[in-house]
Amino acid sequence: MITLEKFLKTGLRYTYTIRKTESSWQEETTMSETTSTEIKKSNLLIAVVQGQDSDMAIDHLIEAGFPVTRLPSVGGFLGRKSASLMIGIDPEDHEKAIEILDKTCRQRVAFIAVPMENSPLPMPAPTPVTIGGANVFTLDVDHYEEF
Amino acid sequence: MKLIIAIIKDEDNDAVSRALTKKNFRVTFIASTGGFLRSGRSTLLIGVEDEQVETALEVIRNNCKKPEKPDEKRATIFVLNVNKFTQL
Repeated sequence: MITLEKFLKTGLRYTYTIRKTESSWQEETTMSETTSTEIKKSNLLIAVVQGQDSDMAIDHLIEAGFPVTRLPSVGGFLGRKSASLMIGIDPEDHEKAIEILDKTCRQRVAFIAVPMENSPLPMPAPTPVTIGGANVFTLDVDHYEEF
Repeated sequence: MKLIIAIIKDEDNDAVSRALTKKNFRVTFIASTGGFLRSGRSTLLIGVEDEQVETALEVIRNNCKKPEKPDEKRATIFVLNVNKFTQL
């Protein structure tokens, strides 16, 4: 019986097809070792991007071969629509993923109406606010699998 | 304490969530999109004790339907370490 910890250290993929053969745990690891060229993702990026940037970002990330899951979310100072992207990556691809996000997600200046002070009538004054860019959290993954 | 993020197909969501709840795992479900056709995916957040991770993964594995095509992916699972867990 191989412990989970030991299994994690191998950092290898645990595939469904191997499991289906009902082989023992030991055999599973040896079998996975032969396929070690496959993905061994050990970082999870959670990128919070603006709603209007998310399509571009997803397209470019998929093109570069990163699997993306999109969660619609709301937040930030203006409470606008945003998308939280969950991306599984190899640590060595980290820079590349960040670069793609950097290219596709831009900071914008939005104007919001703030009532002017000392005005007898409620006069809205346009006030610039910087929004967007991308906030990226990189988390270590203890264990990754897909089947 | 570990956090399991499981991205599964919508159609598997019901079975997996039920099975996990039955085994006393607490599941949070988020509707999401992704994958090749950006079709419906469900994201499950499951907080578990370290020694129960394997049990939870086994439940997810057993309750996902078999893929129709051999190269089709049914689930993607991340297990993250939790620094601090508070329940109020």
